[in-house]
Amino acid sequence: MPHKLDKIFYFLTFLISIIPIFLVLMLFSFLLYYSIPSIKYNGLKFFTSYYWYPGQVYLPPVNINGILVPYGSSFGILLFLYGTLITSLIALIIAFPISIVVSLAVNLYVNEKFKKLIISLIELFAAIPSVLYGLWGIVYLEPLLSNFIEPAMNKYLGFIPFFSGNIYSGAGILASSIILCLMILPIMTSVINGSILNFSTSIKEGAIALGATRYEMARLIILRGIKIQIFGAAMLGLGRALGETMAVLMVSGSVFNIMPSNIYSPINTMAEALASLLDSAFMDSTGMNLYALSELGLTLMLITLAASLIGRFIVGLGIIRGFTRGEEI
Amino acid sequence: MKKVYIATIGIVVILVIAGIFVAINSGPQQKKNITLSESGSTLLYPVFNVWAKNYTDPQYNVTITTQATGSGTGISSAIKGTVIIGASDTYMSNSLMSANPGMLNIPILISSQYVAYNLPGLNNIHLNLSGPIIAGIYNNSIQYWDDQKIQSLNPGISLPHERIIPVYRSDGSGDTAMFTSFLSKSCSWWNNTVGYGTNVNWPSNPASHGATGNAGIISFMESNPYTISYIAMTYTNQIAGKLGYAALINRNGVAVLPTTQTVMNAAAQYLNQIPPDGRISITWAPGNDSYPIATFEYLIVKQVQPDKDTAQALKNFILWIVNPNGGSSSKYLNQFYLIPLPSSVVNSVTVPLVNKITYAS
Repeated sequence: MPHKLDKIFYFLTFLISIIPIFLVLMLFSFLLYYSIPSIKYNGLKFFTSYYWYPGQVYLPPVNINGILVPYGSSFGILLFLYGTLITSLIALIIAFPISIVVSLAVNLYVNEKFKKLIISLIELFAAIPSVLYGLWGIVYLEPLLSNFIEPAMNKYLGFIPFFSGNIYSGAGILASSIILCLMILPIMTSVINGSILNFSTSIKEGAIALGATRYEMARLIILRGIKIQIFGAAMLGLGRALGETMAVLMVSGSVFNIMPSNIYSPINTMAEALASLLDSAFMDSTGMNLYALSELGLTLMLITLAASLIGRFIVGLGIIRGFTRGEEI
Repeated sequence: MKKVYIATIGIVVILVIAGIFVAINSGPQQKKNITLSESGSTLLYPVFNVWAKNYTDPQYNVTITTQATGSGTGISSAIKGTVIIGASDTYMSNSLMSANPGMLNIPILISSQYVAYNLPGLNNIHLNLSGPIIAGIYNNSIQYWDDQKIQSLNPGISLPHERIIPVYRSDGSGDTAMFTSFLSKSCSWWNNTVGYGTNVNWPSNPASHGATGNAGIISFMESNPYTISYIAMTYTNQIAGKLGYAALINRNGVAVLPTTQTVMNAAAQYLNQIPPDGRISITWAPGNDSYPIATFEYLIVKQVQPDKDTAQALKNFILWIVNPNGGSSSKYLNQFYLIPLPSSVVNSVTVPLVNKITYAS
């Protein structure tokens, strides 16, 4: 017979533990419910058009196919979708090799004291509020990009289609990607670092005993062994980059209704558009602006959830396998 | 078990703190406590904070809480009743009014804005610009600063052959509403295609950029030469010496600089046309000395307040705001470059609207 307090405690913890599930479901159903009028009005055009036209809310609303909408309104998220994916992907491409090299270096080549310093600094990076990254982006990164780096890239990498063309300012795809890269580096590095630490010491020692150099051990044994964790780390980083709002908002150039022509062009992302368009959506008496933003939010939530779930699933898979392999020896 | 004790102690501590808090706030006092919550316009937020600090009500012990959330959020919160006062740079549209009857749009102040630019070497010169030219810059039909159309309005000034970078507010904004209202009235292409409001169908322009808030616009323009944008007059001190601003061609075809006087002239042109419900756009005013961009600032409140005391405290506060010896005195308004309402507007529009405020019996 368990103690009475135990029963109460069990009941309470159970109640509290289902709160996250409840919250996610609530948010999802809320977004879905509010999206329905937008799904009906915009249809597939929502994903294929890059024009986000809030319409003229001071004119009388018009009735289109039985739905009341502001005059001249039409909603397409292609620009935001593209912005979110391209900045996150470029950030990932830059962060990927750096996080692997940093993790290998601190585990194989750096002495204990220095290793601790580097790891705690990386962890510190993860705790910096995103708005500070944005501030640094505006004050330091943007002028640096527009005055030196982007003209140089245009000159020497201009033969690649996406790297040539007009440079209007430092704000845009490149600046957003660099800021996002800095923000996802800590999480990726610590996951990869953890996997290397967990990697069986006896296998590492075995490799050295067989005459492998450290470089060969890193490349042939460790990196191959933690392939799955590295992929998972990348997915976790991607999940963070997809949803980032504030920092990107400050350096993206926040443009509307024009697709970027090159990597220096201003851009807009889904999270950012959601944050900046919300206030004026309240001015729309038909509510369509709000419904369209809900559909935007729903899309973002699904993409982020998918990236995060895949990442977690793969990391989980890798850790279990890594452990069993370690124990066998 | 230890954790259970810690949790219990934690709860007890929280209850004690809450108890002390309640005790402090509900002690015997002669005046009744009233909280007037405000939310909305970021333009009005600084002056609201100064008002909140300095206002004392003769009848009540009034606390004013302020939030800079944006005009649209302010209006929406006032409609839902989550705040008493929604501060807005624009009035509610006809359709929003008919969807939410019983909301009052009470004009309290006049504000205006600069059309500013960053032209190295020319920032101390006031260029002449017109609505159609600015519309052309935003829709990409005028791409360079030395375009013939700009040059012809500014003879003798050597303009650079540089790409113009038009900047707009990416967040919903009363400044955007003022700016696009001016463009809609002065350029028919803009009126038919883009329209006006706190956010609009921005034209597709590869050089265009968006930024958040007046502060965001200013910081972007400072670090990027050849930009042009619109900035609230409230930010006069922040752009001084860093950005130039234009004299705008008004309805009478005269180039007019934005000053307190030219904005007041513009408002004066509309004095006899203000409808009883206070909702009017005062951009594109006639008159030789009228600056073409100006707007009334509004308090959006429910006509029927929850109780008698809140209604009375709200009335007192709004009447104090428009009083030239109260909230509209120069000591509060000058630092923000806000302009008080002319007394005729206060008497014929604001006061009758305030008197409409009642309470649920």
